[in-house]
Amino acid sequence: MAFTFRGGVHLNESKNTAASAIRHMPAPAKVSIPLSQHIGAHCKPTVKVGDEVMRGQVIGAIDAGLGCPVHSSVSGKVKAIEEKYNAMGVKVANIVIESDGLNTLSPDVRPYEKELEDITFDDLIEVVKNAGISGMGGATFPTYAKISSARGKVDRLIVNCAECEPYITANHRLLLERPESVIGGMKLMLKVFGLKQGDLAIEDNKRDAIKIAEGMTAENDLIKVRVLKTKYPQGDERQLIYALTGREIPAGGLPADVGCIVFNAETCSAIYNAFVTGMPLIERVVTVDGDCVVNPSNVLAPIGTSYRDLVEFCGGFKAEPEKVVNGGPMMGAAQWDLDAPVTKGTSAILVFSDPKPTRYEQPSACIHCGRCVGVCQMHLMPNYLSMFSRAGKWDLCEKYNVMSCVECGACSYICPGGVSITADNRVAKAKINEKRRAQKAAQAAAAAQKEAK
Amino acid sequence: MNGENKMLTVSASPHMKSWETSRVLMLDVIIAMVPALIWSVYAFGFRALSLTVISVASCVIFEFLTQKLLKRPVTVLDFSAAVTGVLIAFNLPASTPLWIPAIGAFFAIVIVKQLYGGIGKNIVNPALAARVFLFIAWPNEIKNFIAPSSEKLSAFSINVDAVATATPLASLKQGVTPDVKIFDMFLGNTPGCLGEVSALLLIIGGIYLLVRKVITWHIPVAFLGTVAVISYLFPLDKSVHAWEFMLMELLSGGLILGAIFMATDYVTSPVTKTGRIIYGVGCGLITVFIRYFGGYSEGVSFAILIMNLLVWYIDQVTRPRVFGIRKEKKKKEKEAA
Amino acid sequence: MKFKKQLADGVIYKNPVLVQLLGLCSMLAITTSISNAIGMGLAVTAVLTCSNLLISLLRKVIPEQIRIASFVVIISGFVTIVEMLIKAYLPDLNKSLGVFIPLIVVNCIILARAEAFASKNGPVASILDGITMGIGYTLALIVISAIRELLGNGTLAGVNIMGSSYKPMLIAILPAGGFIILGCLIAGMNKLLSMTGKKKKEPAHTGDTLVTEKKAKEGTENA
Repeated sequence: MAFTFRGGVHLNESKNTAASAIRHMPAPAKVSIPLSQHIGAHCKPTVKVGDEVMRGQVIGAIDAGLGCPVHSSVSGKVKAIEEKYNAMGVKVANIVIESDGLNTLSPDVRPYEKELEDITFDDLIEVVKNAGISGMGGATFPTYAKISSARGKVDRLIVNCAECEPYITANHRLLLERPESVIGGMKLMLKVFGLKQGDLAIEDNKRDAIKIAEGMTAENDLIKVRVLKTKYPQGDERQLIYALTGREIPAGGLPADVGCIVFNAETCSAIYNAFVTGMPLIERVVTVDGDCVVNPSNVLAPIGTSYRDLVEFCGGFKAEPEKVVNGGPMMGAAQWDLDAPVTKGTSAILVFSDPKPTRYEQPSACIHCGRCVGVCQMHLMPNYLSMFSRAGKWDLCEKYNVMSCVECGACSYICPGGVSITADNRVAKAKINEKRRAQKAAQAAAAAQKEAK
Repeated sequence: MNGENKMLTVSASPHMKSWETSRVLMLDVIIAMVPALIWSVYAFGFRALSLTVISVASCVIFEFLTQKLLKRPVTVLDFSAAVTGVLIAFNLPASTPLWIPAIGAFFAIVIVKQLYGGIGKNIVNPALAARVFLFIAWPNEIKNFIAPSSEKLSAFSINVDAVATATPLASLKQGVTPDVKIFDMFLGNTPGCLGEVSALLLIIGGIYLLVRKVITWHIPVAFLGTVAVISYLFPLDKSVHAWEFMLMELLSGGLILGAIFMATDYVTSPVTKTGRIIYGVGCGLITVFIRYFGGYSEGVSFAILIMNLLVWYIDQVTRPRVFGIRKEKKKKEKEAA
Repeated sequence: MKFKKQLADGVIYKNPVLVQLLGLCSMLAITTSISNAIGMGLAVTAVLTCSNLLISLLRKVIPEQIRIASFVVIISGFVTIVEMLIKAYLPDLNKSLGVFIPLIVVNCIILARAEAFASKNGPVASILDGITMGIGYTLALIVISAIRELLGNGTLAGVNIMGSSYKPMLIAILPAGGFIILGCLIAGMNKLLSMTGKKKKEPAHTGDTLVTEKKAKEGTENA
């Protein structure tokens, strides 16, 4: 019996690379590693121009606050430290390293001294922090912070292998080719959290992965493989938790608030590797697909590889690229620079020769059909939210709960009138956040004035 | 060909779109109405076709002209004007003078639809508003409902003479059993307007729309169900069995046409499932009320128009519960703010 | 000159029917023919002018708290005079206007102008206001009834214009049709007024202009 949730939309899965094994990409001539690939403070560089670095060496450390250290993915010389715009349009310092092709491993990279059975909670936090692991499903939240804030609150551990976005098959192949790293990581964390059972959630379009996972977990009840109905956005952690446990994360809350903790399958695998081999997060599986790529495939790419090099490794371009998407086609961000680097949160690079669906034949008009209301996973009324947003009525948007919108894009996808609902919601959310910040600032100023009196 | 010096499109996510567009949906509606149209030609002659053609052509032309005059983008190719045209024609009897659908088209498209802002912005169903407008404006020209017969009316004369026959609906209102058999009413061998006579073919069209997921079952079932239940429990004509009266009520007048094609019009019906059921029940109640106690024999048009005006409110009242927000958690909302 | 401005206000910018939307109920009921419209319009103008004058003369004397009641008494006095005159000399008009002549007492236009203008301005200005508002009202009524009579009866002021084969649009002489025609006229009036300089309302943002294109960096840093 497959688990599912209310709402959502069935998409063309386009899992063209499901059968292509992960290819390990050799070090490219040059990598550009951003000092912020996660939610939180930017790292400060620990190397300077001209330094020799080795693969796995720390090149950026957290100064203060929330953050993940950054490591070099190749061995070579630091050529420059320059500011560039990242995928979200924020200026970030990048460390540009010229590779010497040798991939010399840093001596800091060694297996953890304790046995896996003896690892404590604090060990877990320390290793995960030092390995620079952040959420690899795309959320890029520093994993050690997620783990430490969930201490003592969690009774369900879920590993997310839903991969509901079209094209992306990275987690699928990982589970087929290296299931021991995912399952090993799960067992490790179950023991550390003190839980008797964990869930490995897989959508039902990955039958072969389900079989392998069930085979590997059959001997005891420690890990249960849960099959989910294939529907977008099943991989959203809110819907995942709801489908498996029936619990709803309250608006503005976190999974820990309902006693759950969710890890992406590749994050889980990275945690396992951090203990067993000591390898920090310096490479990840990226699905390269789209009709402009000669050989769409899954690539184990070093962090900092440019998109162009990645596509060249997959055979190069067979058509003029019109649109490059970082991530899946539903929630991914369109890129403007083919030389931007792969980061810890890049699950896919899709290169399309057609910029659709940005241009429609008819001007957009809401026909009030209600399809968006039916597919919204947060059970909002997207057609009204879009109407209010376009009229500038931010108060009404807030009243109709636009802040609960996760921008999954299902409403814009299904809209027959071609209304850009997701974009309108983003504008409304930005305006409301602006207003709230201004209110907070005004309150703080008023409080400070009061104190000064 | 390696992407040098080329502008890349940077647009907001999502970067995928379902193939369904308004045009596809409208085409489906037209296809669903074709069986009833064919029957109307078979029963009433080619005049039915000429009325329909004039109606559709007028709608499309008026929409084109209005949009050009108001300097708006021309959207006639989304076929919504054509659908309105067919529905206007379906609501007229075959003996209607040929200029009447044209004026109805003007009212529906220019006044009800375009002056309110174009597609998606009209507050009442344009075809239905036009029908009511025409029936009140020219009651003498449109009152001649004719029975399907071998003598077909001329397709090209502007005005025709016809022998008026009482429709089953009119008889039921008097409390008299109509002389048409139930089976004939179901098939379409009964006097009435072009598109409303053949319940069978309309229902086939409705099933097509359900299968194609153009409409959902909520409104037709709620509408027809309410009328069925009330007419079964309180039949006007005591000389027949209650279920016979119920069937006659269901099959007479524009009820099936209204419930399947007019009440389900997207723009003027609610977006939530609960809202749709409330709307359908409301339409049913008002229809029966007017049919039993009102001055007109046909209550469907007014019922749908009245409920159209309440749709905005129904939507507000049936807002779904947002994921993660429960009533008692209101203070958590304030904390999050 | 002040009169010109008041006239422009009364007929166009502050037209009591088409812009201020006052006195709609009696308007809808009687604008089925031009002769009715002219009759009603002149009656209302007469009452409006006289009551404006009297109220303006008495404005310093009437206490604030009972001013509305006083206005109504004064207006009804004049309406009674006008009604008796119409009954005596224009019996046909009396028959077609019927109960709407005494209802002029509660016609919003007269009370509104008394409250907004006559009670605050001098007698000459008030007379002019009464006349100009009355002219605006009458003109609006004439336009509406011309359309309604033409469409609903085929005649204009009793003269058959549309010919014998014209099937009159009965809804035009029913209140429903009156409403629709009034609506179209108000829309047209708004359009006219907006063309004389009012700001057009722009949406906060349109989602259609989402496409931005940034230059792809040239691949200068080749290995």
